[in-house]
Amino acid sequence: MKKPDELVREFEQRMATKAPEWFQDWFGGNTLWDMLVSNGLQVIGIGLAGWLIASWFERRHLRSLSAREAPLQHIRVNTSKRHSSCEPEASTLLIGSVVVAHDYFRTFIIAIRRLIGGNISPYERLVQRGRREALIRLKEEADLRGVDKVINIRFGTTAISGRFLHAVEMVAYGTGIRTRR
Amino acid sequence: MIITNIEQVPGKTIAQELGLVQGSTVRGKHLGKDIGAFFKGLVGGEIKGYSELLVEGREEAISRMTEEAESLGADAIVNVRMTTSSITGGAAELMVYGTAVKFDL
Repeated sequence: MKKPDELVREFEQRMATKAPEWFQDWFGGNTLWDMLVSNGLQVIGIGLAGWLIASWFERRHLRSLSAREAPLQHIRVNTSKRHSSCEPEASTLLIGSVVVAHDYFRTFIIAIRRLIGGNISPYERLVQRGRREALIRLKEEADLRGVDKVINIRFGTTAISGRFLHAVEMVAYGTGIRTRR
Repeated sequence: MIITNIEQVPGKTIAQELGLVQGSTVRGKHLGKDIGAFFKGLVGGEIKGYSELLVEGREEAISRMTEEAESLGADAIVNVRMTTSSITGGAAELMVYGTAVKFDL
C-alpha cells in the first residue's frame, strides 16, 4: 500500500516524462504549450498568412457571387404564401445551404473585439456572404427543376460546432412554382 | 410525393388532413473530415465537409418524413418547417416536419 504523497510523486514523474529528443529538437518542447511559446513567431506567421489568403478568398468569392447572381435574375423570390395562377404538379420544396467559417487569426481578433461589444463587422460580412451563397444555391436548384418563382422563402442560421472549429450554417428554403406563361 | 412549405398545394384542393409527419436524423462525419475542416479553418471560407454533412442529413430527414407520410396514405406534405441544431462536436441534428394531406378524388 503506497502513501498518498508517494502516489502524487509518481503521478508528477509520469506527467514530466520527456518527449523523444528529435521531437524536442523539431518542435522546441514536449507539450503543445511549449510548442506554441517557443514557436511563437511561426504560429503568428501562419496565422497572418492564413488571414491574407482568407481576405483574398473573400474577394474572389464576392466576385463569383456577383457573376453567378446575374444569370439567375429571372427566378423571382418572395416571402408571401399567396400565388397567382401557376401550373399544378410543378411545386417542390427547394433548399440551399452552406457552412462558412472564419480563419483562426480573425477569430482571435474578434475574440478581442468582442470585449468592447457593438457591431462585429467581420461576422456581419461572413453571414451576409453565406446567405447570398445559400440563396444562389436555392436558385440554381430552382433553375435545374425548371421552376421560375420561389414563394414563402425562409432563412435559418445555426452555429455548427465541429470537433476543432466552429462554423455557421446558413439555409434558405421555399416552395418553387412554375407560373403560367 | 409533393412537398411544399405553404399551406396548400397550388392547383389542388385538399380533402383531408392526416396530421403531423416528421423526420429527423443526427449525423456526424468521420475524423478525417474534421481534420480536413481544421486545416480549412486556417484560411476560412466554406467548410465543404460540413456543408455535405448537412445536405445529406437533410435529405435523410426528408426521406424519413416522406416514408411516414406514405404509410399514412398521403398525397402531399404541406407547411414543412426545418430546424438544425448542433448536438455535439462534429454532429448535427436535422429535423423536418410538416402536415400530411390527401387530395380530392
